Amino acid sequence: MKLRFTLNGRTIEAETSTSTRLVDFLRRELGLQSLHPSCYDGQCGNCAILLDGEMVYSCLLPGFAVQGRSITTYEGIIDTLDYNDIISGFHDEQAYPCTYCLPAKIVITQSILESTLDPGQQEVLEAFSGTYCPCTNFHNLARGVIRAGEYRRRRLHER
Amino acid sequence: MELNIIEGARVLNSQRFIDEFTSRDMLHLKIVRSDIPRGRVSSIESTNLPEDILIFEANDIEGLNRVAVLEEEMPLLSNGNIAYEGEPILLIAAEDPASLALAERRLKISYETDFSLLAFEPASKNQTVDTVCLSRGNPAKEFEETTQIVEAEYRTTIESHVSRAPSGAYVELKDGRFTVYTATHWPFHVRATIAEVLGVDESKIKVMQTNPSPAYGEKVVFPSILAAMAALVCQNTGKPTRLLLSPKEAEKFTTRKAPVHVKSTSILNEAGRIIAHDTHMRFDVGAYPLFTKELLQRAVITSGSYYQVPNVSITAEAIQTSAPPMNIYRGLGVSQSLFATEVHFSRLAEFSQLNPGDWKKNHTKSKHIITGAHLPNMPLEKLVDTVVEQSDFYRKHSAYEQIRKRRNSVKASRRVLRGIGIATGFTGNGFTDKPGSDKSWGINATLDKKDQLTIECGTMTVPEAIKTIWKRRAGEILGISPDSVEISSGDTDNLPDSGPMMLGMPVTVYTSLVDRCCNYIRKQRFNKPLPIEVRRNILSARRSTWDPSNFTGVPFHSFSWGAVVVEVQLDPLTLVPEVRGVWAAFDCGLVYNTQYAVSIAEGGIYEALAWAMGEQRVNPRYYQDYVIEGQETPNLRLPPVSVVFANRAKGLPGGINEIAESLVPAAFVTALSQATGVYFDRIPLNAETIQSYLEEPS
Repeated sequence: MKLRFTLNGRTIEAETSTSTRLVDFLRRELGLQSLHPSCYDGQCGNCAILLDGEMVYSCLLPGFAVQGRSITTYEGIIDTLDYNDIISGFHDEQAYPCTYCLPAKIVITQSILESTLDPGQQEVLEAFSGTYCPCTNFHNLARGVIRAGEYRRRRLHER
Repeated sequence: MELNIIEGARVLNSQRFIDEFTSRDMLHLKIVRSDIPRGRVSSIESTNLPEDILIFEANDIEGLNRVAVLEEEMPLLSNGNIAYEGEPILLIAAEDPASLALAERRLKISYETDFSLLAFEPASKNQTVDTVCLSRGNPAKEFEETTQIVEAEYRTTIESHVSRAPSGAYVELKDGRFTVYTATHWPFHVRATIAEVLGVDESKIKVMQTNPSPAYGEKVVFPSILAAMAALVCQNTGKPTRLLLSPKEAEKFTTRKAPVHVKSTSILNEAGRIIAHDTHMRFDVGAYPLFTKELLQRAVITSGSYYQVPNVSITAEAIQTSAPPMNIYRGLGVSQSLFATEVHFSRLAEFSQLNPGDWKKNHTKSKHIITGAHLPNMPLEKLVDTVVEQSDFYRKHSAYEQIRKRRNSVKASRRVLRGIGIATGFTGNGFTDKPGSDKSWGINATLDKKDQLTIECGTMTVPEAIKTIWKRRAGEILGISPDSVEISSGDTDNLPDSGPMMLGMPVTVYTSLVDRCCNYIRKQRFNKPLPIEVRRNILSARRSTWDPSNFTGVPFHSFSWGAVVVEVQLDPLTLVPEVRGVWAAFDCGLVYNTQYAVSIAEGGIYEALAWAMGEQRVNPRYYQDYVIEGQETPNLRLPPVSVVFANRAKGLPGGINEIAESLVPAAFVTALSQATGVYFDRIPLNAETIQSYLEEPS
């Protein structure tokens, strides 16, 4: 099946079978190694991506779900100032996700901050309720996301 | 053939995971496992398999069909006998992964199954693979002469880890040398295992560590097994070979927390002191036990803890069963042992009519631990004071006690039931003794002419936080900038064997080796020309310091101490326990970054709550589900956790996670017992198990 979609701001034309999951398509065929699926049933959250700005778990979608749509992954965030906001917030609040789950945590944080720059703790925990990695202290993570929102507010305001 | 690192991996800016290693003509490998838990393979039918499938069995092994860990071993591939469900029988390899799936479906293995299973409860005497005993005084005589005995049994069930970072190995053969990439915490064991299995010299093998974290202990021995399997295929075909475990395989077959059954019997005097105490612990170690002696010794020491009992007998037994090998789970038996001990001793405090806080404090005064070692700096009294004060323990304990006594039954209650519990104890850092091995474990350090210090540690994936500690300490000892200290990265060709990264080795043992190297260099610095090179090995404990045969002396490199209070409430209708708060005080030696230490401790506490509250951790998000998506959905929150660290100005840093994880379950269960008036004696505890306790006749 031929697909045309936007991946991290670039138009991509690729081919995949109808039985391929989106995570496998992105990871194996397009080489996006930031996706770390460890459950393949939407429990670990390590394959989170933004599909038209909305956070989804790519292991739960077929590859062809991207047809005509726009995808943002960790690779599309790391070279932006948005990434700096998030990492600075995490660092300030001692939220240290391991290298395995960090990309997903960044993507989920980005999705939170795209909807509000002043999230509450409940909102943050709700957004992360579909992720699992005991490396993370969720208290600190929630504070880190809120702090990241502060950084981004300040940056956008100063502009 | 060239190894491709898939484009995109670089963006992670970190060590690569094993599933990122691939090459064009690589063989994919799959383990064909037994369907039955005990028996014998009678025939293997391999007709109608895809043409490109290659099959390997135990007979294809040129060297020894075994994986040896210190004095113990298990077969790499079954030699026909099946000891547990999921035991590897065959390896199948193909360039196309789809062929593997097809071949696995078409392979037919028949078994002779007229063998009885080796159960844990009940187990026969010949299932005991090892026993460790500690005895002081004459408990048998005391038990004969008394009429009032407190007797109880405690149980914990298997805890599986949640597979996260992938487990696997990639092996390629070039110019007669094997290069092995695997996610391991013990690269030199990988090398030794492959050499033995392939029947080649260790110099023919180079092991490179891929990113092993996060891990629960499954990256200590299991990577050696996977790497040896991949190397076997690579040796036979000459092709690069990759074996990746599926998440389900990793969860089921790599490592699990061993279940334990503990029987404790005690006698108290009128003042509430324990006169005699007998504990018998039985660990289910699965079909092939590993690190058994260490597991049993740690369990005995932490069970005896700091309580000074004149007549005591503690026995720990390893029971071989038909379950998959438990392997090495974080903590190695300590959390199970501390759970039983602390719940039992809280019960003794209750029988003494004393507040458990006071009762435990009274026992800390001698500053001795069960091995007789006198530890003048034992901080437990202060830690207990801290958590008792912060949690308002005395007031809450008395109030909940009175409410409970006035109440007729849990079911009749219309209000939530509350209880509070305390647990105290220690965990040890490093092995109890340098494990018997013909090889030295150590680290190297070199100070060059530019005053740059290079530290070489064979466990290449030491966490960044620990590397920062080494740099700071080396900088302080040598009077150089921490930026001038480099922790060398490399492989088994150019780094020393530093042993396995487990049991707090990096933070305590390796740190002490860094200190010793730097102190030597400091002394020699102006006597010898630069560069100065030094190697320091982990030493066997002197008999005067630690005598494992008699259980006397100081058993660990250092101790991590802790006191934890947990307050719970229980809805009498739903019987769903909720944690109202956790207060913890720890002394883990020198803490460089308190905020970071608190973060680790909090993580350990949440893990422990998950263990204590999950019926089975089938759903990896259990604890989060409970807290976030459960009854409290309108009030999303994690239970409040307060952690403080004793402020040590000097000394060695110690492990944090293990002590945080080990004390919480006992405090949780004790609190729940106070809330309900029912003696809970097992974890995990959830609404269903609580209901079953309430239905039991009192």
